[in-house]
Amino acid sequence: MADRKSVLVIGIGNPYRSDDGVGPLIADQVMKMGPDQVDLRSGIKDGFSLIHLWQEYDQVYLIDAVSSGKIPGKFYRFNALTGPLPRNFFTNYSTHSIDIPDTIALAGKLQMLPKKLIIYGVEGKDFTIGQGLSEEVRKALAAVTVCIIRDLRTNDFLITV
Amino acid sequence: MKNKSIKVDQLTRVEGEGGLHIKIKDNKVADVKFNIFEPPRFFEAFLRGRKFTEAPDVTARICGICPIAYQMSSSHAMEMACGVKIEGPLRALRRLIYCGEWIESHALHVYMLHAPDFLGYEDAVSMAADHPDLVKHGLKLKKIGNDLMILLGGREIHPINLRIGGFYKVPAKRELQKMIEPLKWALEASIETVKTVAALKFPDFEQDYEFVSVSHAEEYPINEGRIKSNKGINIPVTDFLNVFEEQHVSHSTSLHATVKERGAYHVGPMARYSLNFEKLTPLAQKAAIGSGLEPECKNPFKSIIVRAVELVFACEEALRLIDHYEIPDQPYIDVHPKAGIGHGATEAPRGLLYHRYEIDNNGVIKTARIIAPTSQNQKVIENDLTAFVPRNQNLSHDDLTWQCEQAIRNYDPCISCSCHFLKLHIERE
Repeated sequence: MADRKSVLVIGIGNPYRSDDGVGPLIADQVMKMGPDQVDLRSGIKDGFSLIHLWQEYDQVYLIDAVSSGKIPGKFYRFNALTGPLPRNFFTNYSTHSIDIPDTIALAGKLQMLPKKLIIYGVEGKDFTIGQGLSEEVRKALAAVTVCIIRDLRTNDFLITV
Repeated sequence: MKNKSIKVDQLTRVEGEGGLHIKIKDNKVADVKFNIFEPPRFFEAFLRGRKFTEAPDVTARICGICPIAYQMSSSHAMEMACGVKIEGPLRALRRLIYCGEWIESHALHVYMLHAPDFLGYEDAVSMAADHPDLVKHGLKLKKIGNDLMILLGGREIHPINLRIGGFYKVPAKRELQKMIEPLKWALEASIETVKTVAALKFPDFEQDYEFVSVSHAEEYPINEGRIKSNKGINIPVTDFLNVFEEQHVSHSTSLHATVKERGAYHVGPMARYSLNFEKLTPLAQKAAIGSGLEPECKNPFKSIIVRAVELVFACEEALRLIDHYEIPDQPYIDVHPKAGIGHGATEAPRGLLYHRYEIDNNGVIKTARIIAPTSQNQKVIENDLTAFVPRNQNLSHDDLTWQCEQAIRNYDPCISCSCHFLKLHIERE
């Protein structure tokens, strides 16, 4: 698509639900410290809206908190175009919408995926009401930011989980 | 068959958590309970002691699908309490953003939540493999509704640009004109949607409903009018609580609303359509008639066609409003508080949404009352199932269960508004 924009970073999560807000915080950090000409979006309403949004870009990095029962602060990097995401990592809080794995599956069936879609998931510890991150997730914030900036600079298309 | 038990643990594609238990004994429905076990959300209590100006933003948080409805009903109520009525371009802009919410919400339900029922898919994701163009159509329509909400409201979820008295900022004419081409596409797509959904297979099932909706003398109801029914109700919004009442039932944390001394009533697209057919825009009327829909629709399964007709209406109406738009002299009317009571009733995508507030001279909220569409439809959903199940006992266990779920989704219930997952349990003894 000729008029596609280059790179989009999407932070998913609610900053008023403690560790759930790590996605938008990392996206903000990437914008401050990363290369220019990267677009940022947070506060996305639902999976359906994501499809239209990322379709406009060549490369998309999406960051979300996950809850898989593993060690808080552990983070994961998935190439969403090479295989399905684990179902038990991402939670859908609305039955009027779809979760991240289903959004990717739907976009794939509709041929509405970007050329590159990398998902970063950070294991949360505390999802209760309130602002601020747990110590474990706060430490992961810096590490994931560095990983994404490295991705952006190396433009590495050969990603493995 | 007569003593068989049917159980579905989780009904999807509805908003909120609740359950349904149908008990069948000797081939007769012994009991139907629409169980809503979502904890009460206490919004009315949160509002007490808050400033009257906070009600639109606080109540918008009740629902991520229809926040405009909450902002509109609360704003109208507060403005009534303070003796202010919003007219002219500001009123038109409110109607326009409400059209955006109808387009977004109806497109979501018609294509993503309800169509899979008729076409035999678990969800829109599985449907997309066989019907990609259908799903793409739905997504694009929904996006256009969202874009209209973003343009006027600042964002599509819990918009931040609406306030008592109007808006914080109003768009320039050229900004609105950007929506003309997308809305023209949406109008054509909606007309095609009516044809597509009218060709689906519908169960032969009609009910003698008492339809209730806002009704306006000159326009299809969205944000202003009297409250009317097809069984004699014709009242100003101020009389709402004289005619309707809410009752607590043990199986639901959401109150059941009824017409006093009469019983269940039906709000939503079918009620609006059946009571206000002649007020629909010309293309919407033409699409309805062309699809074979009568001016009154009593088959709840055909609500998918009615929603599609309302999509046509909302697109046509939005285009008309944009065409006639003149930028207001000021983005909002100053509203000064005074002690009093105000009522607001507007048409959320799922039906009539009533708000009542009492405020003091300083504009502090003393009491708040909110009656959401789904809480009004709970009883009628139970009645539909009570009537539907005995007539369809010849269906296989799986087919009957599927159609009972579908019967609930006819109402696009938003349990979160009224009080999250719906568990369905049919038990035969």
